[in-house]
Amino acid sequence: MTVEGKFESDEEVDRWSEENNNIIVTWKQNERGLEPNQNVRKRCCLESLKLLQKIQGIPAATERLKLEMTVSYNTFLFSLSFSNASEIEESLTHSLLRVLEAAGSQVSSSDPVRLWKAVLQTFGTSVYVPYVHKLLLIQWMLWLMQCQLEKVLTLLTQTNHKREHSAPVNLQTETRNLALSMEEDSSLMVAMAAKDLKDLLHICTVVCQGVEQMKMEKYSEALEAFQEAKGLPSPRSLLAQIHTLTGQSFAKLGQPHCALHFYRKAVEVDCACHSALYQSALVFRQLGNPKAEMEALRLLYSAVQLQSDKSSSSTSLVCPATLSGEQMTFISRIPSPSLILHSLAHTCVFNGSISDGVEYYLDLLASLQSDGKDLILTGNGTSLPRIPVVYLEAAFALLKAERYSDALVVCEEVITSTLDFIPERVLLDADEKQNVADSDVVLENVDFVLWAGAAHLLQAQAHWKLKDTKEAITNFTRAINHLVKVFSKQKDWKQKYLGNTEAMVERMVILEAAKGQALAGRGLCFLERGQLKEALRDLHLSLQMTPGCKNIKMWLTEVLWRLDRKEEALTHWREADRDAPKSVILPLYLQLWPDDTAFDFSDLKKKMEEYVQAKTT
Amino acid sequence: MEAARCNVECLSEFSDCHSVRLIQDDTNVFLTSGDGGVLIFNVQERRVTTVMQFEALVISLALSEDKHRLYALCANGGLYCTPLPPQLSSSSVVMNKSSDSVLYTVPDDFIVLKSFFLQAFTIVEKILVTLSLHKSIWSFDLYEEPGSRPLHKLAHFQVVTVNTCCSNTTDKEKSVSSPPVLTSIYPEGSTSVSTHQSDLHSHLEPHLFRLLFGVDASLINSPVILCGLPDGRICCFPLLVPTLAGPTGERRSPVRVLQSLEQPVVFIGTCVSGEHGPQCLVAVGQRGKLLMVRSKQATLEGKKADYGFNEHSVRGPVLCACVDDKRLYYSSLNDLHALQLSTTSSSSDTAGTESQLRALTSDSLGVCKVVALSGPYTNSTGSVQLFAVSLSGRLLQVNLPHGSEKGNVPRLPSSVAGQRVKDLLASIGNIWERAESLKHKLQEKNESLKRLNQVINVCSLLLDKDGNENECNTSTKHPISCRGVARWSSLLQRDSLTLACVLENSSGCTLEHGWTLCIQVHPLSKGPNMEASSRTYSFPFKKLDSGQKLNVTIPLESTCGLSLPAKIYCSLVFSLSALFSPEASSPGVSQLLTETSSISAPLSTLTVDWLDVLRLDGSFSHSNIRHNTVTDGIQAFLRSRGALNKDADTTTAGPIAVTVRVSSELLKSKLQLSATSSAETCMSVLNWLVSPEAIGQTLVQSRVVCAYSPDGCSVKIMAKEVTLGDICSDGPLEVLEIRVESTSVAAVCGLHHAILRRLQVLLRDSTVKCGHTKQLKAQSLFEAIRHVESLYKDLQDAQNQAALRGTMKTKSSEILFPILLQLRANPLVIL
Repeated sequence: MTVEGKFESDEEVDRWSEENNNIIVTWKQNERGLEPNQNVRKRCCLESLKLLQKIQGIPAATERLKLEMTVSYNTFLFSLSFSNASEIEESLTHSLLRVLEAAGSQVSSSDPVRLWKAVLQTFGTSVYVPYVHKLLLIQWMLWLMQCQLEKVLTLLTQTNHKREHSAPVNLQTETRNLALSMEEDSSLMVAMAAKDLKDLLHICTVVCQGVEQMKMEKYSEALEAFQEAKGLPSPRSLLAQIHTLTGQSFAKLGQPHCALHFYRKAVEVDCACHSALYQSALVFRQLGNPKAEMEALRLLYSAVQLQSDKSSSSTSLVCPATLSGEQMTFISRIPSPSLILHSLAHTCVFNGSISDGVEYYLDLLASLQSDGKDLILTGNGTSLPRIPVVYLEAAFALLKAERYSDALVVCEEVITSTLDFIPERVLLDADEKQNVADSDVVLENVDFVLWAGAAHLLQAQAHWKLKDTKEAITNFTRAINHLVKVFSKQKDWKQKYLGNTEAMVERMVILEAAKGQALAGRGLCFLERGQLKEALRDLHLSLQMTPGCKNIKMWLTEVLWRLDRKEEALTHWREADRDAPKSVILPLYLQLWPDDTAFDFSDLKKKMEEYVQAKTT
Repeated sequence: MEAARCNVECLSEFSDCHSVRLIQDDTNVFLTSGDGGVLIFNVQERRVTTVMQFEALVISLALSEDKHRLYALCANGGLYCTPLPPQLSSSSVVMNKSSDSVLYTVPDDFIVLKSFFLQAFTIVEKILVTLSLHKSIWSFDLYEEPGSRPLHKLAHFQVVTVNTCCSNTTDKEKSVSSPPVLTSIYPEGSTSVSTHQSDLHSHLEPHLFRLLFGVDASLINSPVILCGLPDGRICCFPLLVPTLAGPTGERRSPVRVLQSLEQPVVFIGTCVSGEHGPQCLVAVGQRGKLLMVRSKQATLEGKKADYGFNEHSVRGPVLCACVDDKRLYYSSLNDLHALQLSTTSSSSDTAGTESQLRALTSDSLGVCKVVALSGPYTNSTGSVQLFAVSLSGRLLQVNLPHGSEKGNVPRLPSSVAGQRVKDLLASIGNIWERAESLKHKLQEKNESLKRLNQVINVCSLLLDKDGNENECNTSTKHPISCRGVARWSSLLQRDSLTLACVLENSSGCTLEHGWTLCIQVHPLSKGPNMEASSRTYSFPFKKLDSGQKLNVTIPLESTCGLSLPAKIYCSLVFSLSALFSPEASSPGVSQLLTETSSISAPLSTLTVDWLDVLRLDGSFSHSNIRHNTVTDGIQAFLRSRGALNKDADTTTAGPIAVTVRVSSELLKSKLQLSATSSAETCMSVLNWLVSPEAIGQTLVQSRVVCAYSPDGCSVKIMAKEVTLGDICSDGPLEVLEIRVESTSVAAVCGLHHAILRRLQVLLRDSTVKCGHTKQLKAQSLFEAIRHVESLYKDLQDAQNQAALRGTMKTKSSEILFPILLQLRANPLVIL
């Protein structure tokens, strides 16, 4: 190169350096504001990319090497939020090849591991080391994002090549002992200081390791990693995440109170840490503390709603959440607002705070009707029940809250929508070979029957509460008619046969319970109308369906007493006292008589005691 | 078929475009052009208001929910979201400010999503649904609509991947040939939708919707995304329903394959309006398979309600399709068809098939090569319109006939059919006649244009020659020329002076019928008894081919006698009425022509003077002389009676003579005479004077030409060389003296004038300069001037006297005549 040419080149380097610095200044000014403008960010990213393209448009040379590597570093950092990791990795490989080209060494392979080896050897002790290390950080970051910890380990080991390879290679120690050249050149500005990035990467790597351990269910090892991570300086949100992860590990280790402690710490550090709230709600449920669970869910729901109102753009250049890989986001993910709302409503109704539950259910129905956008965001494995179930639960809540006409309307929705799907009869035949698709269809049909039956049952209850026994009887009858459509070939379907899947058994149990409730309900209506024979028949049948139900036995005693069959009444009376009701897990909407306190049997009790006394005396 | 005839308006023409997307909002039609542009055509203003230029070919288009943003998927894999220009988004405001279309270049910044695997997208409920194909896996992705937010904050939600069943063929090519179709369908009556965007999305009655798409979607009124893949499968998934647990608790993919057409899907829509909305889901395959999905009502026997698939086939290939509430419109390459879909749902199978077969008779709308359709829309007047783009890039507005439901009337009774056939034949005859007359008119027009073209050619030829009007002789170089020579001819014992004119066409083109040669004779002098001015002779001719000549002869003497000299104007005239062939059936344009509407192109101008009309000795018969002597005798008689006082004075005075003196050197150089002796020079000069057109011939053999003037007086023209010693200072000057003698004053005057004119022309025209100017003697010049001055004084006196005394003619002429003679007898030398 002639003197003149060199001079020109120097001028170019100066101009491009200035351009780079201008971009960085613009970026930093924008970031300083309360709400960074996304447009500015995007423009900075584009301009930086253009600058890089300009620089890479001419052959690589050592005079421009510092500049080129700095601009590459900046561009990759900017493009983190605008493009995916594989694209950045491609560009990074390209940059590395150019760096080697400038140094005059040729590497045919484009495998990043080999490339890095060559790069680190070529620039071992030169002035370019800080810049090479900047690009190395980017590579580290990319591999960390993809959870390729082995590659990270190889890379870091290569960097520490001065050290003897005597000790067994360990990522933690390698990270800890990493000696990177972190000098900054004031004439070439960077978007993020290499030291900051290195610290962030360090802690993220540790966290990522912990998450890996969690995945492998080695929770104590995970706790160790998190413990180390907590010792490192980290941003608030990341610290909160670490606390949450610690709590999760404790929860898995069967120490719920420790878990709750760390969840609380997490929320204290960063109030926007939703996963801690959600996880604590889960722990409270596990501990059987419905009040605390409801409180946690309520907090979570309001927090999520507040957040969705705000623009949820990431505020920092390198978001720790993305750095820690997909696994951590998976672990710390929270359900969608609708799902949270449903959990909240369900818990409320289940635990007896009916009025709150009704309000939450109504909110949920409204949000489902208006925009179900948040429904799409799925949670971690938990999903919303089928929509008819949600409706039935809402109807149940309304019924409990004595809003009978509303309950009737909601049930009507379920009835009309399922009407077309109700088959004439459903035969559950486990003997015949059924493929999965067929059994799915059968199960779905059973569901339709169950929903329709339950809807009629709830309607009948509402009518009964409204003292319209005639309408109630009609609806109970409808419910029974629906529910008897499903029958099984096996007599003792409750036993698990080879083909009888768990789901089928579960549904059959629920169906039987529903049938029993419907029959019992109709019996009571008949009793109220004075049709004692019909009442007796229905209650008998009901008792067959749900053996051991104390309420039904009591009612049966009442009917028999009224029919003046006192001996039989006495037998039932005694049975009722003796047999503890068999516990069956029912869906929420069928838990009409959750305990023995549903009816007032004091009259009957008195009568029966008098009768027993009279008999004995 | 009368009922199906529709009215097609071509709204605009664009460049050729093969894959066209067409969407429409209230006032604008958006269509893609071949080179990455999206043209926004305003229907009311009937013009392209805006052109949005993208960087690559636009594959697919969609408008955002609020119609403020346009989404475009380009061939470079970029999905652009660009705000619409303000005047478009506020559709109600009529903007008349600028009549030019505005060009917007859409930059890279508007890319919201970039992936080379993107195949199709749609926007529903502010959710962007994309379909991409990667490694033979179709995947749907749902994003939160970017809206005004610059960062495409994707609530990324991978719905499902479906393995394509025929992955052996290259998927990329297949998908390019027929992109997948994405449609969203709402249950009818969902409140959030019916308000503002019922035109953009399809609806389906709740019953069928529930049957097809499940309880969950129906309960929460979620729209359903239907996707027709190029392999023929129709997939669907509810948009707003979460991934639900399956019956056994496991997670299920929400995407379900509804049916497979086994050919690329071109269109999915809903049709056949019923009480609660469209009752039928329609899908059309590329090769003409038509799938209709209808619900079967639950029967009384308690059979479960179900839906039924009916497959039909129409003649393919189907390029594009659209539906209104009763009909399916689809375009094969040859025609646009309207297919009446039956409204009756097939309650029983036998009746159903029959009714459907009948229903599948499609009506041709007679519009061919439609590659994209949009609509149909009912405009304010109640007529139904489709917008279509043809293969050649025309935007068409197809106005469908009003009562075309009647087109489905099954069969006509035979009597009516006969009448119908007759009507049709009659209308065919009418049309044939019209076509024939139009053809005839066209021919006539072409003929006229051909003629007009020829006329203009000829005119331009004639205009090419520059204005040398005087010399007809030199005009031989012009392609069309007219020359004339004055001749004496004797007819019926009477000699008459005629002008023989020759029109020669040496040009390349033919002078057709309609041209007329016009010769106008315009006497230059006006005698007391010659009031009649110019006369025009016209000779229309049929045809004058190139190289042909036309000879015409016109008399120079009029009834009032001969008036010399006379100017002859030759011109070619074309009458415009000849442009239109005489057998033209309709009066047409020719009725607008006035009598005089013609084109006149001047050809040449010649002058006939006394010299031209001299009769040389021996060139005429004796009878003429006798005749002349008779007239002389009569004149003499009259003179003796004193009737002709004026002439009496002149004739009695004996022969009158005038002389013209020209420098012989000048003459020689001008006439380019090679003669050396004076006699030869004189003869040549006389020859030149008497017969200018035959300059080589020697008509005149002596120095004296004896001839007769047209009125029979004998005339002598003499030429001799004289040496004048007193004019020039540098020695004697050779001068040619031309002397005219005659008893008739008129003849002498006329000849004198003619000789002078010729000399004048000769001297003016030629550019040859004399070798040196002669030094003239002042003495002789003074004398000459003094002489002329005295004559001028005499003339003024005579004038004064005449003015004082009134009309004493004889006296004044007595005074004037000698002055004239003196003036002429003693000429100046022309040098």
